[in-house]
Amino acid sequence: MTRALAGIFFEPINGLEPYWMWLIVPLAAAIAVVYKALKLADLNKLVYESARLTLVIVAFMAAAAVVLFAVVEAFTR
Amino acid sequence: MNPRPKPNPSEWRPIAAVCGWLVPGLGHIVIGEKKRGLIIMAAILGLFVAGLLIGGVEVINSHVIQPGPGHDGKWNLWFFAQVMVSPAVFVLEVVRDLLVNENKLTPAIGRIHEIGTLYCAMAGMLNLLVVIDVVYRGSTRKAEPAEPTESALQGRIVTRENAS
Repeated sequence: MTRALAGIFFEPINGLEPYWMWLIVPLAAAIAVVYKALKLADLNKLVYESARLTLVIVAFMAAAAVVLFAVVEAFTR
Repeated sequence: MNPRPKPNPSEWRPIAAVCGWLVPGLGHIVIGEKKRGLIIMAAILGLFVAGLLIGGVEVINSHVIQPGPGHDGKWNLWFFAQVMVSPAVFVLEVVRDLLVNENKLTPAIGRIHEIGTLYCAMAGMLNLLVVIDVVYRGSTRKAEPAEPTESALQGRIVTRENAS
């Protein structure tokens, strides 16, 4: 049982390769939760504030990706 | 705008910081902020375990293993970030070396290796932020005035009536 449980950490989930971009969302969510858990005096607002910060992080990363894509396209053509 | 209060070194909490490095969030639990500590623990350990699940234990690696001259044997800078999660990462690295020697590990490829490494490193960087917070928590903040309780307010009314 323990060996089987440990075994899931031996093999990477290479099947996630086509969806790697979606893995940014849980990363942004974890960053938002930890940041807001440190900043907020009242933790009752944590879920709302973390969700909002997650959206902001993902939106800015998407915007940065679009801008960088446009710059690369402009300079490589 | 009020000037920021200066930190008071006598209120720094080095023991809580060490606890926070040993187990993420434990520092906050030690200073009495149990709910905050548990949330931080769940978020950081969740991110770290997710990184290990995605990329496998192979993402914990203290040395670069890229082929080619000048690369092999160099320190892997991601490892310094990953080790901020907990000293247990050193043990994981030893386990990883043992598994590599026994050819039991499947290497992660491409983006999956990058994402797994990034998750574990980001968990470490977040824990560094948490450890810094727990050291200074309370030393730079003024105590907020407590809300008056109902009984205290009633006592105040009775006192005023007696005075009049």
